[in-house]
Amino acid sequence: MIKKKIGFWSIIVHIIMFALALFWLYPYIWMLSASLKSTATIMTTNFWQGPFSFENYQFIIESSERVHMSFLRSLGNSILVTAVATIFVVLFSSIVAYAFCKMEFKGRSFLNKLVIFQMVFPTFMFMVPQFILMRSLHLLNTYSALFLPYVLSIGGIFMISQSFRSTPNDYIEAAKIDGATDLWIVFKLMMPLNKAIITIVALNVFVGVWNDFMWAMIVTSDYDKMTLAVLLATFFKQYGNYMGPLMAGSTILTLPMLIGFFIFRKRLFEGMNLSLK
Amino acid sequence: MNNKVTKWISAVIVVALFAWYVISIINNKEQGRDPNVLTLWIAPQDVQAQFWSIVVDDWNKSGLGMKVVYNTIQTSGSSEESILNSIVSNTNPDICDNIFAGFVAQLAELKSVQNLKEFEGFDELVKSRQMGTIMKGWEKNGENYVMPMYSNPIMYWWRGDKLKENGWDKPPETYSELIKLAKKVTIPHRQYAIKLFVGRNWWDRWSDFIAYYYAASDGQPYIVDNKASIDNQYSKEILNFYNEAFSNNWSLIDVSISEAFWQGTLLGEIHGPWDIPYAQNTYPEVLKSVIISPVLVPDSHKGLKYTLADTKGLVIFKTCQHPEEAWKFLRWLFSQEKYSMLWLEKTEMPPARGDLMTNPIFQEYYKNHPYSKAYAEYVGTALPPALITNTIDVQQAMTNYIMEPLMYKTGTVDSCLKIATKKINDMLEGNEL
Amino acid sequence: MKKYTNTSMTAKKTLKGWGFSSVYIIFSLLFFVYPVVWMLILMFSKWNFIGEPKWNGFHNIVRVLTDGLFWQSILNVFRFMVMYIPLVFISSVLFALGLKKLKYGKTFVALSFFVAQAAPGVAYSIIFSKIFSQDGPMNAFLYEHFGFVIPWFDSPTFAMLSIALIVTWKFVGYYGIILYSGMNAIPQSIYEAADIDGANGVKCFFKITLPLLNSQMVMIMVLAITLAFGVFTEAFLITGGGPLNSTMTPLLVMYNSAFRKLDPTFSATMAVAIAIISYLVIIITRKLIEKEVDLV
Repeated sequence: MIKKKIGFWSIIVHIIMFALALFWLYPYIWMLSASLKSTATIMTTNFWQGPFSFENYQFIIESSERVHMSFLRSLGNSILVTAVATIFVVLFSSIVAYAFCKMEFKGRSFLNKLVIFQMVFPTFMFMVPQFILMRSLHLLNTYSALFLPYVLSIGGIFMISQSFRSTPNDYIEAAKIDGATDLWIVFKLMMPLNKAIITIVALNVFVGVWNDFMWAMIVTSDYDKMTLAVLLATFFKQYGNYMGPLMAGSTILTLPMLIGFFIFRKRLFEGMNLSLK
Repeated sequence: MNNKVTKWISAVIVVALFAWYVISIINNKEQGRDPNVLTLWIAPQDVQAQFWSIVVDDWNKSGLGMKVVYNTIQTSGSSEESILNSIVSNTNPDICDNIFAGFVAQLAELKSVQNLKEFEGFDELVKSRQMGTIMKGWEKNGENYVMPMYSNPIMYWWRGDKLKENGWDKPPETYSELIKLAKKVTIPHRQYAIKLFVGRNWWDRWSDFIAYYYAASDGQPYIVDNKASIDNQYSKEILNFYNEAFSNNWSLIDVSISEAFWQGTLLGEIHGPWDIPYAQNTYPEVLKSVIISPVLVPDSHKGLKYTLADTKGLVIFKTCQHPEEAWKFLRWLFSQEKYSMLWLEKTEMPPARGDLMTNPIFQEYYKNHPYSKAYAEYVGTALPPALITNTIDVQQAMTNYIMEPLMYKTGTVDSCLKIATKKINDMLEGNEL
Repeated sequence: MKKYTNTSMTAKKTLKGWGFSSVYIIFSLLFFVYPVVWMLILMFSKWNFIGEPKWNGFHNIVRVLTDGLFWQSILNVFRFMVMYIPLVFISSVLFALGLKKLKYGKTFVALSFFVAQAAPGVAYSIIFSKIFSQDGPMNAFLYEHFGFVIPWFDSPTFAMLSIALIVTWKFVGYYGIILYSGMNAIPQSIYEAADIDGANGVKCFFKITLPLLNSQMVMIMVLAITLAFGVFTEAFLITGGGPLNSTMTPLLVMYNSAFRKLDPTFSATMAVAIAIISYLVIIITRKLIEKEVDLV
């Protein structure tokens, strides 16, 4: 009887894994539950116990406006900076990656080696000189300063190059014969064929810029340019005893990431298999 | 999802985003820092923001001078750090609030703030507010860079109801009294008598070690002639007390808890006057039983009780293009009693004036505001922290070499004082006197 | 004639190639070359962001190498790694194995773990500082069922461990999936062959699975080491480097010296030192662990 697949141990494994999965989600669940409760009741009730309301969300949005530290504004800032950065990274990295592996020109191998060399350096190393750079360019306290360091991801170029390399040249030859320009090839051919990797790179940048804290903090001093992560940190330091609204803010900060991961889960998992070549 | 629709929506969103970005670049280029507006940065505190909102509104409507625009100091770290960052990035404001004495010394050293004595009417202003004694604590080399806004004596709040439950009708005043209380009420992890160690931030030392030092020594300075003068019997008494409290777990140590006092699991905690409006809104019932009491003193102590003044004020930066206008605004604000009253009403913090107890306007107010009054009564014996440029380092050293070793039992009282004195002296060595 | 066409074509190609790479070049000049040059300047100058940097010789290097906090931060990184790496490794291996044995709900389980790394540093630091606080749910649970409480972020012994724990929570899903897809690449035939030779489950795991996952393990180690040297947000927001400087990470020291003490030269010198050290650690680790593995 080979078909008797659902053995005893299998059930145990399933139960354990499902329990662990829920356990892993607990911090998010707790955060959501706490955000819907008043500060005084958060620590004194279990996460499934009410009473629940949206008062914290109302509070943080309203009172932040009052003190000129607008929550909604920084939410908008985060969206703007993250979206612009992601779009730029995807476009530029694809163009550069294409140049690096499909176009033939003098100095190509040098540039390739340069990329690998650059990947050795941890990004945080350059925080002070980058700050000085932004200052010299008079870009401190602007949206540009927030996403320019992320506009091109060296790791992204590397990953996309790897993926482009594995795309057979026949397609490219065929397109060229039909008279396609290089740009057309990049956008209409290479990118669609490498959707998984590009999704991964895009998601990496998206998450990286949205979650970014240290750089955004260094580079912003006005509240109207602040991203949500930095604003939330400010609230945590200054209004730490307003636990309820803090949880509401954290939930709003985290939600887009969770939604993004959920929507793109198939591509993500696909891509992780591919990136391990 | 219809593919074409998705594509169109995405395209629209992308275009909108780029438009927004481009517009913001254009805006930035045009504005820069608007030279026809005075920028003011205020402390990140709800009640203070309410005060400034009204003040700035009144000023702008009055048309007596240049328009003022205000913003809150960014504080994901500390406000000093953000202000320094802004000086370095050339994004600092014209006028800035929330400056304490040590920080102004640092700013003066960087030559970034205006000497207010140079402005017309400064001395009259000081006289009219009876700030002579107060200003002495802010002077450096005969120059004065700050207009002090408020002076909060560090005081304890006690849960009168919990004290009564345990047979106490007034809060403990000396170390032994606290020990007696702690022995009675301490239930590990469930109830604590007091929170001695206020936090790991450098400014938290204002609320523990330094306040206790002033209280024990009757206001003697802890930095004398650019050297630490803490290795003495006052500190020893304080630290022996701390040591006993920490060893017996009488003091709540977890710094991330904020609700203990309100929930009744902590009987005594340092709170500033700004917590009066906070409590009125969030925990009105608890507030009713709160007793405000000075910092604990050694058993042998007699006479007036001293404490530390958490006192801050405003500076005008040298980068301000219209310093005269900035001064006009400050002078207007500080010369009117009604704004001192407004400050008092909104924040409950004692304004930096010497006539709080004598001026009838304030007396009237304090008659009906006992909690505020408790603070105002101690303004006279509340002294600012030492006027040194590396306040942050020195107080960080207090955290690392005095408080923490005692809390985590890696040092004795004597060894802590010796090491801390040496470390602090090393730091102060580089300073100009 | 052919030669002409070739040269002009090559020239044209070169131009196009460099044109396409221009974005990269400009970016690298701004964000790589310029910073490296500045790092070198800062390493050998005396400056506090105001005015012009002055030559300072090797003073900065001496300052950094004799600074107690510098060495404490490096010690802290190693303490972190000693706690984090075993924790995350064992957890992700168990997770990957469990995932492999799962027939139903694979996506749900995988996603639940994977989604932990979506957490913004600021948000999850705030959340965990509250969950692990003395009156938080974690301690409430411990007290109710076991009668004791742990000062997660308030004790010098536990603080770093707590950070290691929450970072483990964040990355088990990610590392686990890497291992899982590696496991899937191992052909069943090897296991069947081992089965015939009478090998049991545990033996299979250590002799077959683990060695064949070598490249994934190296990748995870490199990720973990890079992460360890870059811990910032958690330490900055939750513990501020304490208690007793037990969570003072290198990045925190660098940030404090640059932006709190206005001493960017110390920060830059330290950055170079840390980069060198982390690079060495990675190289040594790879030498120790990396093996050529062929699936014949």
